[in-house]
Formats: sequence, structure tokens, C-alpha cells
Amino acid sequence: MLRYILRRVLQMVPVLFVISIATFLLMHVVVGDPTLLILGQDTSATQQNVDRLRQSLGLNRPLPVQYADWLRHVVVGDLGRSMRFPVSVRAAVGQRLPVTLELTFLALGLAILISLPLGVIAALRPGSRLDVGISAVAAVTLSVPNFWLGVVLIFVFALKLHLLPSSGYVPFTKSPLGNLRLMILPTITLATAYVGSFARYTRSSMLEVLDEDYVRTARAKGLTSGLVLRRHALRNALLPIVTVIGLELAGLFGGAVVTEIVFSLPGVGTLLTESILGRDVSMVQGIIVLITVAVVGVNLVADVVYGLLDPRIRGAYG
Amino acid sequence: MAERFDVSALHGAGAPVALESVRLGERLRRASHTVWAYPQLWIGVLVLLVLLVGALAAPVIAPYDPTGMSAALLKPPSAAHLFGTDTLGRDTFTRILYGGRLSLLVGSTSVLFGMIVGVGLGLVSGYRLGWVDTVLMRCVDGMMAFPSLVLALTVAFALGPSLSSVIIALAIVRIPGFARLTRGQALALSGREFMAAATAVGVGPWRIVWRHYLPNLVNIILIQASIGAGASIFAEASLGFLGLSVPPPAPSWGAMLRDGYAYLEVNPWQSIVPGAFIFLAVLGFNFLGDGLRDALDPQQRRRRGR
Repeated sequence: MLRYILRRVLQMVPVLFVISIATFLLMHVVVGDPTLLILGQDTSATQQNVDRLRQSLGLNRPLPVQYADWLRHVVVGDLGRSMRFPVSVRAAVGQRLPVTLELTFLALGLAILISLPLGVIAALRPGSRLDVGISAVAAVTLSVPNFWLGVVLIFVFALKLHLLPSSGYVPFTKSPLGNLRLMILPTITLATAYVGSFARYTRSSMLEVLDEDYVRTARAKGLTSGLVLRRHALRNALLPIVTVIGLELAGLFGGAVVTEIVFSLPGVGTLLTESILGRDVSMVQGIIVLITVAVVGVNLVADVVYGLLDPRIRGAYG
Repeated sequence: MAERFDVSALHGAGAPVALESVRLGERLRRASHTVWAYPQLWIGVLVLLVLLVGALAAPVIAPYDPTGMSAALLKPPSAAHLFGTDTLGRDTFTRILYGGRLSLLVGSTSVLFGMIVGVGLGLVSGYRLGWVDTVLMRCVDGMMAFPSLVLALTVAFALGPSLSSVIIALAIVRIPGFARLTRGQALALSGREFMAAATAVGVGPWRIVWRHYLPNLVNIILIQASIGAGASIFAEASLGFLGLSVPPPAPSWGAMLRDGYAYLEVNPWQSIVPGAFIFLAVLGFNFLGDGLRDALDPQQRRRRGR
């Protein structure tokens, strides 16, 4: 098991390397000279000012040196300072992170809670009317644009029925009930697309397992169908879902960006969008590094969990 | 499919012509059957056809100028304005038609570019293997760690707001999916007997890729392209919603939704109608992709219990 984990960790290194180079180059080469962004509106900026700023930002050094320097800081968790506000990137993200984490986990939980039973039910009677219906619902939810769903939900539940607040945020620690009331619509908005996706994976995984010899053996030795389902089929069918959920987390974050904007939630997604529109290069760079590292980390955890749950995987790759 | 290429591998370029044409007729007959057997397929085709006709014929159908303002601000739907008017008094129905041009253009071109690069990389990776494969696949892994919307946002941000930068951004997003899919399929194919036969009779690498890999990959690439086009349209709309798609006044469904969202209480049509069209376009491509998968990939069909 230790060898398996070690192998997976080592596989992460080149991926992180690729990510760091891509992020660095994207910002420094394509966006161009950040001094022009900082001094952009200031027409009184003389060449001398520009040179001084370049000097102080270390932009007159060769690119590989700048990259090495940037990476050295990033590795120890120093993501630099915002170009618009007097805050460090880490502090700004840290302040917004709880909102995004809460939204993401609530949506993930809701999606799993709804999709797993749907997928299992559909797989038990493949081709039945219930199965076709569930598959159709899954196909439709996969196509609903999350921001449009958010707008429709706000229109119906906030503006017409006056049941729920349309936007805003209260920390859970300040008012747990107020917080949850505010999070209901954003959670549904973000979860919907994943209900379809998870239900599909569950269904096909379950169908595959139900076809296995050990399920037939369990039936043949006279176990009740409920017991076969719980003990033999479901446990094995849910294993690959762990990996799928890990892989979908990247997309879930992308969805969170838009959802936060629709509901004016002060999360990392809103911060990213504001920083992009305000051309705050160091903030954008820092957020992207954090997101990608988090995604790679979560995939590692998912794989390790998978390995822990399924000895066959460990055997194949250990 | 496999038999067909066994034949061409053994007979070289001179595969029997008659045999080929019989197959084509048979395939067309089967295709016409499958279209009706797979409701998702024809619903998808139908939705896309309607949107395509609307987009192509926009100058003929549209009653107004897509950027022409008027004094009739935020009007609800009426005979004069089918979907009402927006905050600048522009006709929403007209802008929906022209916005469809943008959506379909961005969706198709970004997938085309992403497909060419991705399939190319996947073939090189799966055919050459070794260090080329390792380097390419680590790059693909790296790209996959970016949430696709965040990657699109970043590239669009880096390149500045324009139609070409949106297309480039969304094409880049599509590359890793195509590359990984193609590589996996190429690896699976390389173990097959007809590949060994082709290599044994001395077929060169270009010809192997062109005649033996690509024809076997067409189906699965087509499915991926259709679903990818839906994802690209959704991504373009998301960029528009965040204010990072093509600059105004060009009509983009996502940007129209955002502009209308501010007046949701006054006139909900202005945000709900553009959103409904984004939904329809994405649904069309997703259904087309799902339908194609059901129709073209029997193994998948069995797994889906049909």
C-alpha cells in the first residue's frame, strides 16, 4: 500500500511542474508587462518610473530566473501580493475560501444523495420505463446551464413566491439558519448538473457489477436479492464512483465560480472573476495555482481511497 | 468495423470495390433504422437544425437590426417584439437569432481546432509511445487539473476580449479530452491482429495512421466532438455571463442573460429567454452525442441495457 501511495505521489510531481510552468508563462508572456497594467491609467508615468517599478518587481531578470524565484516562493506558500489592493493573495483567498468550500461540499453532498439511489434503481431494471425516465432526466440535467437555472430559481422562489432570499451571504458561525437558507438555491443550482452525471456513472457501474460472476454466485447460493444488492453488488459498484467524484471536482469548482456570481456569494470564484476583470495578474495567478494544486491533491486522495477500498487496484499498480 | 480493415490490410489499396459499395448501402439502410430507434438522436438533430436554420437565415428572418436601439426599453413580448426588447430597446428575438450565429460558430470551430490538435497529439502519443508519450500525457494531465471554465477564463483573459481569443480559449480546453481519448483507443487498436498484419506487410507509419487508426476512431471522435460542441457553447455562454466573451454590442446569449438579469424583476424575459436558448443548444449537442453513442457503439448499448 505504501508503495502504491508513493508511486501516485511521484506521478504528481511532473504534473505540478507542467501546471506551474503553464501558469507562469500564461501570465508573464501572454499578458505581457504587468508594469503597464499597474501604471496603465497613470499618464504621468515616465520611463524612469516604469524602470524603477520593473526593477522593484524583478522584471528585468531573465525569464527562467523569474520562474525559479516565483516557484521558490509558491512552494513555501507565498503567492505574492495583490496588484489592486494592499493584501497578500493568500490572505485574500483564505478569507473567501470557506464560502466556496461550503458551497462545493453542500452541492457535492446533495448530488450524491439524489444521484446514487437514482442510478441504482435505473440499473436494477435496465430498459424499463423507470430506467428510461431516469436516463432522460439525467440527460436533461446535464444540459441545463447552471447560471440560467440559478436565475430561474431566483425568479420563482425569491421574486414570485418570496420563500427564499435571492442573494447575499451570512457566515455559518454567525447565523447557522440564515446561512443555510441563503445556501439552498446556490446548492441546488450547482448540484443539478452532477445529479445527471453521477446517476449515469452509478447506473453503468452497477450494471457492470450485476453482470459479474460473484453476483451470480451469491444469487445461486440462495441469498435474498436485497442482501446480494447490499453486500455484493452495491459495495463493488460504488468503488469507481469514488474516482469519478474526484475527477468531477475540478468541474464542480468551475461551476462554483458562476454560481457565486449569480447569487453574489463572496467566494473564491467571485474573487477570481473580479481579479480577471480588474486585471489583477498576481491574484489570478495565485488563485489558479491554488485551484490546480487542490484538484491534483483531491485526485490523489481519491486514488488512495480507491486503493484502500479495493485491493485489486493496489495489486495492479503497486 | 474490424473485418473491413482486416480486408484492406490483406488486399492493400485494391480492396474489392463492389464489396465496399454493398457495405455502404447496407450501412445507410441501417442508419435510417437507427435514427428512429434512438429518440435522443433525432431530438438532438431536430433541435440543432432549427437553431442552425434560425442562425443562418438571421438576416432574412430577423425583423430588426441586431444592434439597432429604440425608445421601447424593456418591453414584454408582443406582436412587434416576439421576445420583447432589452435595456437599450433592441429587439430580443433578433439578437437571439444573431447570438445563435455566435454560439454555433464558436461551438463548431473551437471543437474543430481542439479536435485536430487533440487527435493529432493522441495519435502521436499512442503510436510512438516511449518518452514522447510520457511527456505529452503529463502535459495533458496538467491541463486536466484546470477546471475547464477556469482555463477558458484564464486564456480568454490573457488574449484579450475578441472572437478569436474566445475560440482559441475554448479550443485549448477541448484538447486534453480528445488527446486522451484518441491515445487510449490507439493503444487498444495497436494490439489488434490487423495492425500487426499491416506492419508485417510493410505499411509505413503515415499510412498506418491514416488508413488503419483514423477510420477506426471516427465514430468515437464524432461522439466526443458532439458532446464537446455542447460544452463549448455552454462555456462561451458562461464567459459571456461573466463579461469575458466577445465585446458588446455583438449579441452573445450569455451576455444577454447577464444584462437581463439586472432587470429580472421588471422584465424576466430578457434573462430567461436567452438562457433557454443556451439550454436548447447544449441539449441538442448532448442528445446528438448520446444518440450517436447508442447507435454507433454496440458495446456501450449493451451496457446501457438496450
